[in-house]
Amino acid sequence: MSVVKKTASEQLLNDKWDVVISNTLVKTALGFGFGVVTSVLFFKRRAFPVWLGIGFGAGRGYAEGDAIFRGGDAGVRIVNP
Amino acid sequence: MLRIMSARVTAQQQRLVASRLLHSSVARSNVTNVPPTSVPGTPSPTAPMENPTPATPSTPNLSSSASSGTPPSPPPPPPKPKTRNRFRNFLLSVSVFGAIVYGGGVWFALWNDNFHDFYTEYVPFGEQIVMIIEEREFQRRFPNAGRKPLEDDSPRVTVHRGGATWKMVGDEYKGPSTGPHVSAVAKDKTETKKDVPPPPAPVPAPPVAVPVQEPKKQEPLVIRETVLPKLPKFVFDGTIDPSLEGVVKSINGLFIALTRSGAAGPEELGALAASLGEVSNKFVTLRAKYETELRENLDQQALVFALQNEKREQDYKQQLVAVDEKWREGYFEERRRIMDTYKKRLIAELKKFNQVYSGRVRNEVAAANAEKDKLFADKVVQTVENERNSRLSKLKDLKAAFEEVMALSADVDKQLETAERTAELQLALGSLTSALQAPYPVPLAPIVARIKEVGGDDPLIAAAVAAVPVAAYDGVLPPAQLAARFKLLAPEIRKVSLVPADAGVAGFVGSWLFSKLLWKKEGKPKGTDVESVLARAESALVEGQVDEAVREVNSLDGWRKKLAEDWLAEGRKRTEVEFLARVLGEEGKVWQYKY
Repeated sequence: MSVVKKTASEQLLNDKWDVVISNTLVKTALGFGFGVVTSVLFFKRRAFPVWLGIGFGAGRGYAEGDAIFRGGDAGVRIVNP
Repeated sequence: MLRIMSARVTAQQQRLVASRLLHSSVARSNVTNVPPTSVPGTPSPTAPMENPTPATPSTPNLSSSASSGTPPSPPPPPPKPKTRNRFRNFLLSVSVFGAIVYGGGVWFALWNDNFHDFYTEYVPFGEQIVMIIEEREFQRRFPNAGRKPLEDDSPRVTVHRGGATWKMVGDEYKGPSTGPHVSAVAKDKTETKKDVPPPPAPVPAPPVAVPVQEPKKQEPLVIRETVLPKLPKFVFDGTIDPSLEGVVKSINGLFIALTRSGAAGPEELGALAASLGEVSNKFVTLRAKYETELRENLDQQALVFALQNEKREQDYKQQLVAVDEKWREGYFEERRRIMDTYKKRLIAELKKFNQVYSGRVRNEVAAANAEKDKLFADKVVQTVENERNSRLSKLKDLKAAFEEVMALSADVDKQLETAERTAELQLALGSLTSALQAPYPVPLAPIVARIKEVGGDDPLIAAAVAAVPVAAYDGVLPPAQLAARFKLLAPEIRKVSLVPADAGVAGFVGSWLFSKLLWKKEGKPKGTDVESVLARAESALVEGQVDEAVREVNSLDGWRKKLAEDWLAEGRKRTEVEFLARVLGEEGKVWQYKY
């Protein structure tokens, strides 16, 4: 069983920033993907569904980032090493 | 039998079928010759009467031929004669079979004795049939065999198979069918015994002679008075054997008969009587000779038996002697064996007794030695006591003085030990101080353990050692390292200096942006803002006052304090250890003054 090194206290915020940024990127990319698919399938390849998807993804990442900074773990799944 | 009957029945059936076929072919030929006058399918009423089989559509020509009036073919044989023939054949075959079986059985019974027994016993009427056949055979062989019963009063002489005998036949005569020439079946044993001539009367040994003695005929042997006085008379000495009376009687009867019948004259009869007298004399002589030989034989046999008896007695005596000798040898052997056994047992008992006795003697010697040693020890003790009471009495004074010296020495030792412990404590405290002042972390666990050991039961030292945090056993950071880590920590704290409580992403981003615009402070400014606190802590660290810097940083709140937690823990650890080191140093000074 590997020993997980405890994060130094001055690095706590940086870790949170890492999680928030990566989460936002993933959600934004997901929104972009849904937007593209929706655009192709239902909206004759128009651009607005893509932008809408990106907005939804980014907004979701921002909201979850707020929750993360406030001590929660919304939108983040902690995988045990 | 059944098979034969069934074969016959099948043969008759085949014959019947052949006749029917013949009949039908004849009828068909008639039909072909005579044109049909009636329409097929409308048979006349006479058709079923002539033909026993029912008229079917397949035989329309037959009915037409019958109705046409042509001469009918000969009718097939009716079934009634068939049954009569069958019964007759059955009777005939049964008769033939029975005759064959019975005839063969009789023939084989006459030929084989075993089958004869079986046949006469188990086959019904077999015995009668065999008897009849045998009777007829006998009649054929001996047509003149006496079936006519003999005259009762006429004695007769019969010639036995084994030769001439003196025995009367009249008593045992049962008829011609029971003679040996009639049946091969063995006769009754009593009858055969009677045929055997018994031994002579003078011999007493064989009991067979008893039934031969027939003392009922004691009358004179001249039995019958002849009618003709001129006839010669056959006289026999009846004292020799009274049973010969019958013979004499029959001979005289024969004479009479011959005389009556005129077949012989007195001369022939006289000659015959003379010859018979000679024969009787010869018989008497032979009998006497036979008796003499028999007696000699008996004497010889008695002698032989006596010799054998004597020999057997000698053998028996020898056997008795041998058995006696054998038993005597066995007795001596057994006695010797028992004596050996008892001798061995006696030797073993003696050995065991020797061992027990020697062991007991050894124990007694050991006990005597022990008693002697005890007496010697008591004597020594008594001697020593006497000496102590006399010459060694001053030893008590010496002992008291020696005890005083010992107490003094113990005090001195205690003092020395305390002083040594004090010195060791100072040494340990010195090493602790030097460890705290070292430019790198030094493990404190051995130093603390040494201080605890030297301190002993001093409560202050024990409490101070127990208060040392376990995390400090691996060493504490020196002030220089704490200052270096604070320089790394301060920019992070500045980034979150403007973060409000429960801030989100925007709050952190805003604090990061706007903290760049804040003025940096130096020295010891007053105020509770983050920049002032950081400036004061940094100044304290520069001055080497770790506890002051820790106090300043500990006054932060929120994310600022959370980011500084690790540094605070290290600073607190060092501060506590420094405080405890000062306390222990003061106690060491007290120890120096105390002892």
